Amino acid sequence: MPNHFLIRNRLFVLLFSFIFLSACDDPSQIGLDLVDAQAGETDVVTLPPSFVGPSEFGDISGGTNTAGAFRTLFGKVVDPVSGSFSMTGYVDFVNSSNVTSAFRAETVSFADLELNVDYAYGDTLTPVTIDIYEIAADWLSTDARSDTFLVAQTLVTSSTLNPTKGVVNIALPSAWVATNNSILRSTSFVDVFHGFAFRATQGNAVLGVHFSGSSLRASSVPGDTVNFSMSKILSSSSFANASETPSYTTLRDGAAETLALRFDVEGPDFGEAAFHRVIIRLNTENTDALYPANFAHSSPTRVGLRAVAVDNSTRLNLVVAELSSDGTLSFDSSILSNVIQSANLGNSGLDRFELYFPVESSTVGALAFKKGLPATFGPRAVITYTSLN
Amino acid sequence: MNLYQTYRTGGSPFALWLGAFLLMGSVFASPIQAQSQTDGSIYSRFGVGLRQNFSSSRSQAMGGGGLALPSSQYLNTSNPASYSDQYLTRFAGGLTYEKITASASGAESATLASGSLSGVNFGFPLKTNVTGIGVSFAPYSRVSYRVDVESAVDFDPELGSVSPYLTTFRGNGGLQNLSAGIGHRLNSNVFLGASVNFIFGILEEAQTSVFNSTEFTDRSVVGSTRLSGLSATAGFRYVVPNLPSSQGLVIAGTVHLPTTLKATRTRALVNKLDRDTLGTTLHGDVKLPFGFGFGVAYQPVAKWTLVGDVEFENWSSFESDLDFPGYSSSGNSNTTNRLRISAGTEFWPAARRPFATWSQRIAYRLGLYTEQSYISPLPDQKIGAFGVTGGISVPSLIPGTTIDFNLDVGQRGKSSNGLIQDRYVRFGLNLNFGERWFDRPPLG
Repeated sequence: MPNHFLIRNRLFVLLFSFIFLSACDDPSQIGLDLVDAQAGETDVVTLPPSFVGPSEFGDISGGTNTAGAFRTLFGKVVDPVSGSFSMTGYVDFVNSSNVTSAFRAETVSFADLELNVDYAYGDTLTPVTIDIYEIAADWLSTDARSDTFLVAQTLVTSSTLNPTKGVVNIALPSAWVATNNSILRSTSFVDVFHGFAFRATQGNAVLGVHFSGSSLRASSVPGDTVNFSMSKILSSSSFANASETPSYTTLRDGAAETLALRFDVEGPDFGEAAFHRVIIRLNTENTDALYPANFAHSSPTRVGLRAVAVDNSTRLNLVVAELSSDGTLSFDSSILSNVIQSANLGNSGLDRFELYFPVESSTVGALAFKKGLPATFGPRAVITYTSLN
Repeated sequence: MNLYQTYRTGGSPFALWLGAFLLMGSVFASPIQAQSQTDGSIYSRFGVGLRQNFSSSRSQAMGGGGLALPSSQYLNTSNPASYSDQYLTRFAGGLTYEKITASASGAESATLASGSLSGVNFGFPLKTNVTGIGVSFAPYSRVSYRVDVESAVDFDPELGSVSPYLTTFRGNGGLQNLSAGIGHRLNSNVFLGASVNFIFGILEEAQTSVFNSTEFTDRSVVGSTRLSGLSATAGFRYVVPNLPSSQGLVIAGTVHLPTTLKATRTRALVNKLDRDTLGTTLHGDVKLPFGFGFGVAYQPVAKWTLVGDVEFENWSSFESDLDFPGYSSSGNSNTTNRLRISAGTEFWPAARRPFATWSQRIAYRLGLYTEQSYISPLPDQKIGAFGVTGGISVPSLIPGTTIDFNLDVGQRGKSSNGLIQDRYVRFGLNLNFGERWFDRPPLG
């Protein structure tokens, strides 16, 4: 007679054999004629957008030395692709923690702006003249967009810069220094001083000043210069209409508008459908030939896609794509297919998609996207789906 | 000391272990579990699923009948009249592993396997061998099928990128029967019983597109029908008197009353944990038909038991507000009356010999059955099944407790006329546990 222990163990072996054997399947399509499809066959469709055009929403151009944009842009350009535009740069400074007592005790005798110009866009042969204004009130840079306007009416000085990369120094007038002597030496400098605005008056270029290596410098004792490092920046833009052509439409970095795309995924083409993969693809036009010689015009290579709800305020960044060597931009993400899926079922309130340049771009370059139907490489969505009707 | 307090005489660790085993089995094998392996016959897709027939491990090995069998050794849930024949408290249950080879003319065969809960039941005497209670939980029907179709899709025509994918048509779920009944012995020959049955469950059909790439999102369209309702069964057993003392003959019958199940049907798009309801939810009634059964058990000598059973269900009167595969509420239906005929025999050398050796207490069973299904995929075809069953019952160290191994080999349908032939092998593992509970201690 088997003992209790043996019976118990043999039964456990049998139990696990059940589980193991249950997995031994080799199914096939036998019986296919006896099942009713719950859905149609999986198919692929290339869908043109029902709308392509500008959407007013400023690029994020504000930043601090830890987040957001890292460069302030100023200048004005007549661009053969982007059209005429101007940029106003705003900067603010913070006083250094290692200010000497000698500096605070003496009268400030000299001050200048040391600017690390690391970006130049436009005519590199024509100097850029800028007016420097003092900003009137405190302002926020975090998540500030390029359509932000700051009041800066007190002209401090003007300066002419060569549109090339490098460190430039702009001496501040002695009258401004004298007026701000106590402020520069005050421990409440941050609260009282609100920074400068750079506006171009002449030239055909936009310059970019990087956080790093840029500061307000002041000295009260010969040989003892105090650096007020840059604490926040902002670039605001003023664009005229881009030079739209029948063959392309532009997405301009730094502008107060984006490029919107709308796809009818709820329409009669689909009904209710299961979306397995969605690729939104655009092709760029090579516009190099439109630019004159000595016109620096580098373009961003990374573009983001976000979903915008019908309330026109809810935005969800979906995916960032890299421009391929042949100028194709493909947004391909499961998040994208999920957004389209929700839209198809009427669950998301999706209104449109927007293309945007990621905040780390901090340029004024532009991409020209081909217009037209998918057959002519216009914007399109390549959708793998299964109809549920 | 209260002379009338109840107490348990058993309570061995084996009982706890048995309970744990069945609990695990229920979780692993219940058709209502979404994660269970539910690959079975394509015929389970039709109607409310393939009708299930488990009343006890003993009857499972004897062709699936046994209306006339008593509940003294196994709780016989097919006939509530048998609940009167109890002197031990019984707890039993089992799992079934099924392997199906499906074939059709001109096609490569498919092999599908699944594990499921055969049923669990619990019974105890209110008055030994006079009045007893039985509670059971067992599948009423089962839906479990899977058809895979391999395809490829040119998902990026510009680049000529092709991805293979699999479309899986899958059904799972089924109706469960939670039943509670009472049996009473009117006199030495007549036994009556009745039970209330709560029939409930979910029938689910899904079509899933599965891509072999994480760049695609696999999605399923799932249609679910949730049903529930109450039914009742009445039964009798009649022991034919005046036979020689070594012989026994019992005649039994049951009637299953028709019932109306409330049904709710939804359709959803499923992606992992996300579930979006599609369209509107449908509500309706599903009327299950009445049925009856008739059985005979005969013991020429104590060691041998022979049974024969006929069960009938009037599915030609099946009505439903909702369509089911093979049934259209607007008129075109492939339902027909269900008929099941079975016979079996048991050889138990230790009959009436409680002190027989362990090997003599092993019971051997054989049976056969034939069944005409209540529904067919095609209007001019009827689906039949037949099979041979067998099993042995091995006693354990605990008196009244057995471990049963059953086998069922059969086939269903045919491989011509657009139908499928299933050749199946079912292996059943059942535990049947009996102890004396709720007894009063003797005086003194």
